[in-house]
Amino acid sequence: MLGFLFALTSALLFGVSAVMQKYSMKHMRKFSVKRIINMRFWQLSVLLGLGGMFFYLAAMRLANIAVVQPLASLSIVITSIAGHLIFNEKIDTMWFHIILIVVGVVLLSL
Amino acid sequence: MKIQESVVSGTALGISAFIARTVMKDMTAGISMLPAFLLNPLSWFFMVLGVYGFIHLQVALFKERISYVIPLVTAISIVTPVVLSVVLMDEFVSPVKWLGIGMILTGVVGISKRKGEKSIFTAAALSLKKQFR
Repeated sequence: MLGFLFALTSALLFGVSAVMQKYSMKHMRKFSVKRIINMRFWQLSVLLGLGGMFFYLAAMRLANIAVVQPLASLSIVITSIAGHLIFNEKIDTMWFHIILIVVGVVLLSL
Repeated sequence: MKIQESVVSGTALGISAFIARTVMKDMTAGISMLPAFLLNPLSWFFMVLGVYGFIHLQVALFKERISYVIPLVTAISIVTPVVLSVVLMDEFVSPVKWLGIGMILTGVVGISKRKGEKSIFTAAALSLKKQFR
């Protein structure tokens, strides 16, 4: 049960971290590693990502990969929903392919 | 080509995960494995590739939509270690897992192929052609 919860937490943290990274670059005109490293919001997103990694590794110790990997792939769904709700991205035709990837990950971990 | 950053990031993170798995395979879990892990030259390769993949992920996120980048990078980084295990370590992959790989790749191609843009395989082939020209 704890492994399941940890895997779910890791997916949530990975997803939120990616959304925060995208959000912190929203007003950037030109990509610069130096600039993003100095952004507090980006730094926080990396910390959340590292937290996600910690929970992922802990979940791998407590539960089977067949449970952990499919749950971790939920970050794809989280980022897609966030992309639609926060960044107004059109994902209507992409849903089928996103579901295909998630089912594929489930089969791969069997 | 916008897709290139996502492909490079996913592949680098996938190879990095494969190396980490190879390095840690014979180690017993716990804090005692840290010195052995750091002394292995492959561990440094794993870290450099991980950072390289992460930087490319940031560039991809900057240039492209998040609902396009994350599924692509995640899918490629999951499939790459499995394919490397089969090719380099001669590991057995069951038909169900091959079906899973097929579904992931179909999803990746589907997401990457958008109106007026090249598919992931065309982009990869063009990128390779450019490298060897």
